Amino acid sequence: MSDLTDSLNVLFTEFYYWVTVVMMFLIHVGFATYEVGVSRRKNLQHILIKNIMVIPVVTVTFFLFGWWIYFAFVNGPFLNGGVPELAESFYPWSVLMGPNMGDRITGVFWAAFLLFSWTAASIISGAIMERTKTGAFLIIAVAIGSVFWIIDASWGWSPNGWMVQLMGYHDAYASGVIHAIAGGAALGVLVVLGPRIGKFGPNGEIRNIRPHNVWMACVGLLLVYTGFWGFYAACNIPLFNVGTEAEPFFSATNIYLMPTTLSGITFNFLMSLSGGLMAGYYLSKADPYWTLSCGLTGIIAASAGNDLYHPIQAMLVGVAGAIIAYKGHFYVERRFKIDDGVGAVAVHGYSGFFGVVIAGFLLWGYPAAAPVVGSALPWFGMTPDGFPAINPIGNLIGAVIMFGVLGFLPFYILARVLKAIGFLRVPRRVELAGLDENTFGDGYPYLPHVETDFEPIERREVRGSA
Amino acid sequence: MPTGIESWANPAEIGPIYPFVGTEVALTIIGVVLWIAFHVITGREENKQWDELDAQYEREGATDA
Repeated sequence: MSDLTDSLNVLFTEFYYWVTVVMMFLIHVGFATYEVGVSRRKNLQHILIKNIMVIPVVTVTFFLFGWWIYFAFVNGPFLNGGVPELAESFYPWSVLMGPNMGDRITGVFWAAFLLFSWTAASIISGAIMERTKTGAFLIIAVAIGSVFWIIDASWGWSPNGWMVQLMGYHDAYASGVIHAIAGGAALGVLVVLGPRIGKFGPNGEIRNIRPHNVWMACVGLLLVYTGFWGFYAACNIPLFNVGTEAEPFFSATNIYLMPTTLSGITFNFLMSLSGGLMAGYYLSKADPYWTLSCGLTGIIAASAGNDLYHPIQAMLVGVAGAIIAYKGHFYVERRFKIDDGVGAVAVHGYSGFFGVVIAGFLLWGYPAAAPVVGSALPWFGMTPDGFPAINPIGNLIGAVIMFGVLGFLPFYILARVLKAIGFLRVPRRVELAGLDENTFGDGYPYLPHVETDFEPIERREVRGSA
Repeated sequence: MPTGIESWANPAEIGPIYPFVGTEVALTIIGVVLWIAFHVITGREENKQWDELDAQYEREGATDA
């Protein structure tokens, strides 16, 4: 790097992603905090260690194969066109996958994607809390964090991805590629896993399993919001020539290398958050946990198009996403007896799905990405410049792929396999006693134990099924 | 015995700067083995732990109200 301008561009970009990674760490801190808060006292240390161990297993596997998948699978499920040559640079044995004087971007870009991987795993963690074996969860974490989400990113979150090039798929801040897939995956596991002891009564009535520490859960969600800022910045390319070589025009872009501004997405992040919070406050009758969850839902719903929406559009999408998630969570719980410990399937899955679909309508006709030379014509229309166009059909199919094909289906199968080998769920007596009991011990050893009204119900359930 | 870089005199000519360049495939194999072994060993231990506790709770009549 002998040219100062080029060097500043490279070093700025390197530092930019490094900062986003540090900020995104707060997402993980937030998930750990709020899941511990939502859990019962008898399980909280297992919840905590489960979240902590996401970090090493997903990091190591994302180094070994996750990052390569992102570059290798862009041509689609049947690898039409083969594995691109570029992917060879990201084998774990490539000299770019380590300190290298000739490369200053790979490590920080890898880490930015890796932090998304942790997020995807943590989304599932909360849903299946208090009865899943840690080892089973860690396998699920590797599957979502280093395999399935990064396949979907390769397909639909890359300017060269087949879903972008052929379907005009658009999902700037990952409504589908992170949230819908993780929500769908969580649902797939939950169907096999079953509810916690006593969650549903003999006549199907729903029993509320109260968090052991509501305010801690809420602070955790606020930390997730904070990390989400870094996530938004990490989804952008900070400095890119969106003009021509003859007439350059430098701008931030989204992941598809299409123009946006950091300023614009700041409007939309806050307005969609606000829409979700207002809807959640109204729907939940000011319940702090659900108000904050709906705030997160608002951002998730608007994320697919928050690179381009007007702030009030972002707010309205946030309102709609929160309504869908809140109503959807309780409907599915009541109708299908799905025990989602934190409402993750709804907050991430349903609102993420909705966010992708609505972006297809609101951004209909916008350029999705520059066409790849030699690529087939887009299936659902193109712009006057010959770019694949964002459209409702492409995004609807994309949402189904994210939630269903890469989310629900593989994780339903994986959970069935884990269950078949006896490695999915802890024994009922252990679940009843609590996972910390006789392992780590009480997480609050100096506070007296007060039996909650739910504990006798649990014991009756276990006795009845013995 | 030098393990990698001995001079920073020509930085533009330098690529990877970690020691033992050329051992990347072997390091990858070690990483894969360590990762799989971690899942297998900790998974077995966890299963054993829950099974033992389950048996203990059964003996103690843990479901008694």
